[in-house]
Amino acid sequence: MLALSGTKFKSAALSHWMGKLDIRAKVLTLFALSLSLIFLKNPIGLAFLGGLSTLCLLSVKRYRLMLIVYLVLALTWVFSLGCLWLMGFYIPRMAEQTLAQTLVPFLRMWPLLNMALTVSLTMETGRALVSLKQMRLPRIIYLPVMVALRFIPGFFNDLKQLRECLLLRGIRVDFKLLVCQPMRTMRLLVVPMVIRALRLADELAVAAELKQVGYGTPTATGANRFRWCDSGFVMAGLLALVIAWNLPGEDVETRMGRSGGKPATTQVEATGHTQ
Amino acid sequence: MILLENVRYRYPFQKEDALKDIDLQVIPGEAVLITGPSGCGKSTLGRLINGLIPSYFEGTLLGKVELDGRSGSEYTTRDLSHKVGSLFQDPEQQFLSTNVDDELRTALEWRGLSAEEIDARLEPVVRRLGLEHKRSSSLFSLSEGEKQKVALASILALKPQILMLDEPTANLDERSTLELLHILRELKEEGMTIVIFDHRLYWLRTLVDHAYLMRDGTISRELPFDALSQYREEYGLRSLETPEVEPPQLTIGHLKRESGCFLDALSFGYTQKEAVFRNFSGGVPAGKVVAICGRNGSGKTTLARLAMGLEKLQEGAILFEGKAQSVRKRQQRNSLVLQNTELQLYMRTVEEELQCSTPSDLENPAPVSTVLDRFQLHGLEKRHPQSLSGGQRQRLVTACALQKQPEVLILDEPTSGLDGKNMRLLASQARAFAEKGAAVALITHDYELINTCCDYVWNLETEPPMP
Repeated sequence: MLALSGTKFKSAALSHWMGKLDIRAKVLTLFALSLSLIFLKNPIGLAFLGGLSTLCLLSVKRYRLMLIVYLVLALTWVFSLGCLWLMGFYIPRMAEQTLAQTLVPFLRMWPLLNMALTVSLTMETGRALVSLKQMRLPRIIYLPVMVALRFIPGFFNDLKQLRECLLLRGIRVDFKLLVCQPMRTMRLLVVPMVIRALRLADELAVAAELKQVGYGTPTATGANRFRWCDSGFVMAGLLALVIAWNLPGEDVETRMGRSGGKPATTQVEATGHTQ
Repeated sequence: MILLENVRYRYPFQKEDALKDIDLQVIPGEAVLITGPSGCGKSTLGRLINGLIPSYFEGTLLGKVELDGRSGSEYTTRDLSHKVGSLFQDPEQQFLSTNVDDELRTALEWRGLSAEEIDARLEPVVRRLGLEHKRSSSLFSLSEGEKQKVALASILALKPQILMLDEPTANLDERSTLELLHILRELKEEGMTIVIFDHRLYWLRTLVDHAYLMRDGTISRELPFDALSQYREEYGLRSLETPEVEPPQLTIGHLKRESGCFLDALSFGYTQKEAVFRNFSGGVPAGKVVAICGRNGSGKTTLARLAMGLEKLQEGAILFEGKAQSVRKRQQRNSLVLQNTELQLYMRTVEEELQCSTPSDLENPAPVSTVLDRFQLHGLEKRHPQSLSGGQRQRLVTACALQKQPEVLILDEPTSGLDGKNMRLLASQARAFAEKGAAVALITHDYELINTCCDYVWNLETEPPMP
């Protein structure tokens, strides 16, 4: 009961267009995007992909979750700026990073997070299991992946319930409690969640065993055939990647990413000196 | 036919056998009940019948286990799942999907059936269970009764010869229980073998052919259903009679603004379009135990969450002892015990759990040893709370809630899955606490519990009428 009770968003999410797409189309697009993001260094291209993927995530209508994720991303960026500034006192070239250079890693994470969230929030576990099996992925890969994906919404729901149960006990888990009583806070949060996770894992395994998931070869029924809209989504994704790669703008590399790690200014000075 | 002879089973790393000298014979087409006090080994026996022991739960299994004349060891898990379908107390445990149609298809797809074969198998089952209009629905939007039907439909579509049900009505309201009974009777008439493990007995009178009583991991008696009444006290069983709700209905006249909990013209909805409550009034009088009833989804738990400030009220007021309290104060002074006991226990021992639940500023807190005695938890004080059985955990979280000495105590489905002895113990504690002046609300479908300890019944489908 609990696994589902807090995940009501799924019903809305699945009735929307992303929810109706085949999981393979979404995973394939996510894979192509991830691969592209390793090599793409143009901030405009990255921002373009970020914008497009944001539209996908927006259509899931999980605005609060989006806000939290973006806030964490922004805070991490600000934190990294602070760290760079501090490190600049000891390693001068660290202080020479431009804003664009510090932004690029986060611009890479932006579309990836958007798409990963969209895929997981609009996934139909049962159908996804069959579809992934048909991709002929080794069982050792797809079953753990799918169990993890099935587990995530339940885990967040349990966390929410745990917070409520603690409130009802008159315990408010906040930053102050974490700092003043770290061991107690960890106990309050970790013990019930570990026990719950173990029980949930057992329940899922038993359900899969009784349904013979993982045995034999599943068939492709009308519900999980690759349709024109799935192909269309993959094509649109690939087209977006091609556009992102061809958008005007200069590649920006982080200083630490350069071979030898020498700052550009030093190189220019050195060149000038030679001339 | 299911045949167990002299079966012993021990879970891995355990010192004692979970099942001892089990002899059981179930003839095809028969419906049998297996019941007994909590922790007597019913679930383990169920796991043996559906093959989870020894394929999933390893351990030491001795004795003769036969299904249709073939030894259990000759069956693979796959073969066994063709023969035995299992339905659990909480159908969500069984769901691998989030949509009704996908859930119904998943197991059939994994058996390699074609789309046409799947449709042919599903159509009659879906029609029989009245799920035609629910096929495209999300599983999250269904009531508990409907979820149970979906779980049953996905099993029936696999055409098992034996249907095993583990406490199937624990979360169901009266109407859904009767619907399930009707379906099971039809299946039995068609020749299906039915094995039911349950504490609630009254609904089974017209279904089961005979009953087995279990205690301490062994089947101690085989007897006709009606003969169970002789062993009610000895085995801590529940009533065999169909209960009629005895306490009177709560009316506005029973409530006072200045005492207990008073809900004044509440309005609330999870979405703007659908209101759960609109201009809704009611409450729980001080010194009384009120049963909050209503069909699944009528807003019973929502009402408790609103009262305790876990949901934000849109309109109206909630008064405790005549005053509107802040959310923090409401949570400090009152207690709500939710259904999931695992998330309500945090400490290393039962004793610590009770100590931690006692507010430091409380005058005359009840000594831990007294509470342990009162809730029959004596001897368990050094045990880890999470290692207790379901019934023991339920008693412990209730005891922790009472340690606060709350003005209002709300228990959400406190007897779901409890045997008669535990149910009566919980009822007596709720009664005793109300007699001290507290307002006690029990959110429940359990008519037996209601008749045991409640003063009034408040059906949420109707507001408390004027006297």
